[in-house]
Amino acid sequence: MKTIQKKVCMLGSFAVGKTSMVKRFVEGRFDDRYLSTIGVKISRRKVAVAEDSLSLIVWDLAGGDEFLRTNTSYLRGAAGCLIVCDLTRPQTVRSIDQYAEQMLSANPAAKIIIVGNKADLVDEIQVSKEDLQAVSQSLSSCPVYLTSAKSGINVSDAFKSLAENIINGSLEN
Amino acid sequence: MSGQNLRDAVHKRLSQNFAYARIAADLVIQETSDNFNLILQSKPEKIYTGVLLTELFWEFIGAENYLEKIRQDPFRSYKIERINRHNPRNDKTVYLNLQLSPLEEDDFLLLIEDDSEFGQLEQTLVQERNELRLAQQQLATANFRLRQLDHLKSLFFSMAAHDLRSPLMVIHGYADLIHYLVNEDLPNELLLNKIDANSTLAEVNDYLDVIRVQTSWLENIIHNLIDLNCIDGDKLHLDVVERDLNDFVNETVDIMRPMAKLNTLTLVANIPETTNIVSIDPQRVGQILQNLIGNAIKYTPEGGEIHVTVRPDIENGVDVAIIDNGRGMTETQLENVFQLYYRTDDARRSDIRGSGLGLFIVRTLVEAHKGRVDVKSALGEGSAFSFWLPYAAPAKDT
Repeated sequence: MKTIQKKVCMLGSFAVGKTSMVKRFVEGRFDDRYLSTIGVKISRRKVAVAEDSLSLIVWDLAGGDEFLRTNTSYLRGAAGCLIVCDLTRPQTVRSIDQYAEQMLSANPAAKIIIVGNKADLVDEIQVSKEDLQAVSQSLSSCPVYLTSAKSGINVSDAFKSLAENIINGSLEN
Repeated sequence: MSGQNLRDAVHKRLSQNFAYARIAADLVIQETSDNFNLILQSKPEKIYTGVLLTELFWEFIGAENYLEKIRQDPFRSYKIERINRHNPRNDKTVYLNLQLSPLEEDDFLLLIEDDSEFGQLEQTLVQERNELRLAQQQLATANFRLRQLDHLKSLFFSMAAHDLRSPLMVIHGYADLIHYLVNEDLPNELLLNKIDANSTLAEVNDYLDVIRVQTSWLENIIHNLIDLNCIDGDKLHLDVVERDLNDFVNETVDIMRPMAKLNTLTLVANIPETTNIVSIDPQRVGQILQNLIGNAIKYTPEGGEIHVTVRPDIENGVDVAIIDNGRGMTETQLENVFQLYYRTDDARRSDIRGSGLGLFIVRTLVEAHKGRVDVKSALGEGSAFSFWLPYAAPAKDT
């Protein structure tokens, strides 16, 4: 089994749960406190894909549209990204396209996964999977996951899907 | 301050915040400044010489091609700001800025700046700004919901007023008719409708039936309004007794039969012979049945049939189905049919009365009895609403 290292980024508006998703994925835990990320926090976790082991270097970037506008260098060399939105805040869906555009302009072959987080807040959900699938149509029908960093539902699946897409993409190339 | 003192102060300040390392073309660390470990907050004895840069700083993974480009261009550099590093010793976040620039002989200079002072300040500001933005968004959402609710309430009051007025008008009209018949001073236009003295008693009876049905329906509407108030204030209370559901369904069907007859519909009760003892609040279950049968009557065209069927022994309970061959619903309508104030577009456009309360109350009352509701429907073919209630628990031996 060979190990490949790939940089992936967490993108999305502020307070959508990017840091919580990484914490759930890397450390298997969840913290209820909201602590804004500034700059970038980097973590690593290995994912088994077919016969390979992919070491994902996860760049958890500060949220907010204005941050990436001035810091596109953070995206350099990324093989893919999870674009995260908050299922209880429809306004966080509107910027998915912009994040995707920034990622693809920095890395045209980058793989994208759309993630609707906070699926555990059932009574407050205002965004459906169909809404996100409609957004994904314009992004080569990239996969869509509804996750909960709090309960852990689908978090690993979303990262694994990104890893598989990256491996399959590099095989195609 | 003398020149020497100034130089010392600057040097001290720089050594507290900046460290550097020389990196070879193959990205292996060649040498580090004396304060390298201090800035990285690692143990003083730790040696980084010979370590691969990408092992120490994962930040450079994926950027190898770009580093190769800047190695050949003295005016380029690779800078990453505000790298978060958690310091487990004091549970604080250290913020580092990294800059990799080309040196002579194909090497790189890695400059590390500890920017924690400003980083932590920025974090506090961003945190406050984001919390404010979140609060603003939540406020906007709450405001939007309140306006929606206000609109629904206005809509509901106009529908409820219409609901109450319609049976009242019918009652008023038929009471007037009875008055005329009893007092033998029928207006000329009604005399022309072949109402003679021999038929007066039969006519009065028929009109009284209409009044009875409309009164019962009014009563049902008022119960719904009272219940909505209780549900809203979380004050719904059940007065539970053990009853045979068969008898109860039979009685309610009898009450509703004149209403079906008025609409030229056949209302059939299919009741099994075995008893089905359930713990219910009779008034509430009466409302459930009246709402469901009343609904079937409203949405089934003249000449249609409505079957009320009691199915015993289903999952240790009893199921009551109200099946009509009326207009039916689409899948989208089915998904929303138990929502408060929901009415289908067709129903809203038609002259069928309704406030979108009945089915919401049915679901709430059934669930209050630890039961569940279900609906199946096909557009143009009819609907089957059903509710399931658990059997009463057998009395324990004393």
